Amino acid sequence: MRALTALTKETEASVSTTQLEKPVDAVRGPAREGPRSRARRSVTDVAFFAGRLFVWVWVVGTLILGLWLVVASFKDEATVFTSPWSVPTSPRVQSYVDAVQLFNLTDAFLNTVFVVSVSTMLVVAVSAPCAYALARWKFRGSGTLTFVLAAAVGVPVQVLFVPIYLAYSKIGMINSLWGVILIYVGMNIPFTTFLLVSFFRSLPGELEEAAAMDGSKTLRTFFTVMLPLARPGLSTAAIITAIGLWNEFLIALTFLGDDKKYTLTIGLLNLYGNMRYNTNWTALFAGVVISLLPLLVLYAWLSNKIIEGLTLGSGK
Amino acid sequence: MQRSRWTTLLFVGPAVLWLAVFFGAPVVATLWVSLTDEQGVDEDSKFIGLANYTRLLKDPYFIDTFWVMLKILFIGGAAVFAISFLFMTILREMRFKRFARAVMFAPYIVIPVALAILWGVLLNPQTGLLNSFLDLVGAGALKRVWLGPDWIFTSVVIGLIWLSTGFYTTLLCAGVDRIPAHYYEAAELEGASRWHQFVRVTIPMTWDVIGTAAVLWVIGAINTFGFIFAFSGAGATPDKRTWTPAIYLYLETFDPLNGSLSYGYGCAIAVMLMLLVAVSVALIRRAFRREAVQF
Repeated sequence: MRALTALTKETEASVSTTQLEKPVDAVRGPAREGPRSRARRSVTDVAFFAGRLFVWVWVVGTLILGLWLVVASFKDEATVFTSPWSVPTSPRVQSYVDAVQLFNLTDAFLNTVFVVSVSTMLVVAVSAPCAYALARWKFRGSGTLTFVLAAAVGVPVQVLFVPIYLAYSKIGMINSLWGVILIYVGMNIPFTTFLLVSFFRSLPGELEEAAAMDGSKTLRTFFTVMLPLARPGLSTAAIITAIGLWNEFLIALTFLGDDKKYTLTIGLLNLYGNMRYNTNWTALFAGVVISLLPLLVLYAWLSNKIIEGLTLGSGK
Repeated sequence: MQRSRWTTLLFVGPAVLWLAVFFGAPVVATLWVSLTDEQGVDEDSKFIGLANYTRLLKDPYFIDTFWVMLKILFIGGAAVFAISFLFMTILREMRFKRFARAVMFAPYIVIPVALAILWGVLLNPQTGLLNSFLDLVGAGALKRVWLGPDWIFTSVVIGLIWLSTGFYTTLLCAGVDRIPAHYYEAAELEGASRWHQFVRVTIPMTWDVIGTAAVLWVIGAINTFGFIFAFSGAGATPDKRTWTPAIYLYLETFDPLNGSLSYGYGCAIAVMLMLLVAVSVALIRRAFRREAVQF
């Protein structure tokens, strides 16, 4: 009963607002440039100024935080926190030597490069033909496959990793980089396929018809006509996958417990935990710089492509 | 075009096979293991029905983690979306727009552990940059023990807001950039205020993008793991006040120091997470459903 009255009230309210709307809009015409609208404009100006200030505080704050870390990695342990805002007169590279030698970041770096590059290549190699088939052909099960892929994009990794862990420990695949690569590829196929389906759809269909008229077989058309055309889409997919995997944490943490097999994320976590026992903060900062450098260089070079790929790709 | 069944299989087969082994099978196995008392490979496990789930609903730790997640989801989400809308509006007519956007976006592509270290260095009560900065500008009274029990959760949420806002701002910007300029010109001619333009043009025209952003936020917030794990634990076990279900699942299942290595129980948490994602995505989709707008 109460719900019913609430409902009628709501409809009444909405009716009255719709009735009100027109007169209000009519009043706010351009003809009325009175003192009131000028006051409103200056209020908007102040609001915009405040907003712009907020944006810049945010941007500059983020930049300072990043730059501080880079500068700090060249300072010595004694001054890094006692005079945090000073800039060292002679940059000290010992921290980088420490990060590489004491904490063995070389292995972590090489492991990460290996895992990320192999997984990314496999993801694209497996997803691209599947995406092409889904984009261009109708075949039995294509609807189901599209649905399954869409559902899989939203499935949390947490739902996958416990049974895989149990299976891997049975066959001795824990602490194996290849074991992690297999998981990474599976995790990334759904999203990458989706991204590439929309990309292949955007390519003109006449090309395949022309190729078919020339007597080109499906396989050859795919490899010699479609793949080269799809290169921008493939590279976007590859970059997005690579960034995601470079940063991947949960699977690496669970499956790579041996410090010879650490990836950078786990190496950093371990280094951070070590600060409790033997503080060498500058080495930690050096480690952070080393592990972020490849990504940030890539980002500075291709930021538009990366941003577009990550946002438009997920917007589809 | 001529195409045999084998060609289709050749194109689709590898992906389907890979997904079957590393996606489909694990999901089914998780459902099964969640109904057993699995303790590890060497132990015999037996079917215990829904016992893990009933234990879960009575587990005070799990209920706490659930609240933590809800707070991140709603309070953090409200902040992220409010700031993203504000930034989107400001960025539209700002100089150095691309630069500002690129800097804001950067945390999104950086290793979460590195962000956690950075955030920890900023907020460390004794040596942190924030407190030292507050001293520097004579606002020492505002100093707090940011990593202490009273503030740790707030610090985590603000950190998550900081690292996500750039992404959502960019997503909304991409939606707004697709709106034809003449809508705003017409609104301007009609004398619509900025607020009116925002409510009557921007929001309706970006409705689908907002819906997508909401779905992504919910999935992201439910699964968030790396940043919190590394930040509130500083490399060791995270602070209990910041445990999300995902962190609790990891500790219960894989951390012998903090959990019981109970794989069955962990799988039950995983299934709950999956259900939560599915239900919230369905609800958001429904809330955002409308007639397609062509423009």
